[in-house]
Amino acid sequence: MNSKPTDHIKDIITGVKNRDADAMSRLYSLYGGAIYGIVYRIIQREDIAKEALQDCFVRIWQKIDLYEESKGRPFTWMAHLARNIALDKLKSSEISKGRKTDSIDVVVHPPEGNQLTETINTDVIGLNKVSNLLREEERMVIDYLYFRGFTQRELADETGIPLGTVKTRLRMAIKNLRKALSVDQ
Amino acid sequence: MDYKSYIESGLLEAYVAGILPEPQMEEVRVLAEKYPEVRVELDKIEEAMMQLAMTSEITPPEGAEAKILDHITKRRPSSGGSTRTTSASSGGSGSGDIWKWVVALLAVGLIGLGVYLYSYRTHCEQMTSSLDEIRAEQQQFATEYAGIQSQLDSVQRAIAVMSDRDFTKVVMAGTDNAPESHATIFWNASTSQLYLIVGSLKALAADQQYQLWAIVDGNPIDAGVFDLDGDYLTAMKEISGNAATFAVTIEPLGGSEGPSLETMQVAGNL
Repeated sequence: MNSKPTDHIKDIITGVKNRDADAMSRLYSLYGGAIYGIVYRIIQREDIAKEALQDCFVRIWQKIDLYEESKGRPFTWMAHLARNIALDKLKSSEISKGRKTDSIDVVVHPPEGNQLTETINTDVIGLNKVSNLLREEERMVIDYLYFRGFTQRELADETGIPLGTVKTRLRMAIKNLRKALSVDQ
Repeated sequence: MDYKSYIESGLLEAYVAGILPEPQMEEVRVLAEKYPEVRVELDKIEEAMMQLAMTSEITPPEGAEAKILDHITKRRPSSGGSTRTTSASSGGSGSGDIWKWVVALLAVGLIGLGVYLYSYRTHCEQMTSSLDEIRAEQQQFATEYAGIQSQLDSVQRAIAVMSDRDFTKVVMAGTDNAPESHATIFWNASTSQLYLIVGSLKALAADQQYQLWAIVDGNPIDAGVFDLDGDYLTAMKEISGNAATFAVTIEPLGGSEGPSLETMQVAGNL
């Protein structure tokens, strides 16, 4: 599955555009887990995260014509959809308040080990290498911005880290990630 | 456009992470289409973030896929439904049956209208809430942007002054009053322009201010007061003549006519 999903993702997208439910099923088996990972980490409640996942794929099905290959990878488009849906769910459900303020302490000073390291390490061996390469503060920035749905300003406000530093750290974190994943070769 | 500094700005990473306000998201999309270099960089970031998401995937709860497929395949029978109705009405010959079909059709129409209105309302609600969010984010971004822009302007001006040969640089070292303090001025003798960069000066009480002095032909000339929270590069009063020394003293708010020499913090000779 790790062998360049980009090759057949084009066929899958064409299938979905042609209203082929089977292509939708293949899309789900390819990205369902990754999308669920994104919405779950933002919402942190299984029932609502499941709803968000379903909404996201239904939205993909409905809006697939808005996706244009020239504008980037399908996954990025889907991840953006997923993030927005998850944040909407969070806003409309009562769980939003407190979630963000509670979690900062837990993650910056986790009771046992870093949460992101845990979630990543348990999933795939390949990412051990990655998380080791990232510095603690870079991991935190990725965790909060990408996985928890914070804006850069929110993270800066919560942690007292200057906004400019947050931005630089995000860039450095992804740079190191690219190195670790050999994307730049 | 200078796409290199754009690439370095961190905006592309923020775009891929999906954390920019929509107008900025669109800006990145447009630039990526216009500049292949931006597109290439973006693609690498996308690849990295996709792999990150893929390798940190969480197995979805059971039944989610079935629900999705159920939902999307349910939408399609609408065309199948209408063909069935046509074939049935053409096949039904009894005149009493026609009314049944009329009622059935009306019922289907009403249900359809209900569903349409309901989904339209939900859609409207969603639009309003995301529009508010976009507005708020946009405003926040504009404020942030203005702040960063003014810092950037200040640093750019500083670089321009520092690299200008007509400016003489004078490093003012800490006096016995404040051995750790230091500040630097850049002075252009021919245009009289004078700029200050504070290296390290202690914080002052609210009723005090720093004042810069130039010693010209043995006399102290006021070069202006300044605070520590100003720009990186501060433009001071113009100084002409044979300035030999620059120094900073602590004065009451608004400055003094003559320097309180006993408070001198930093000084440096040309």
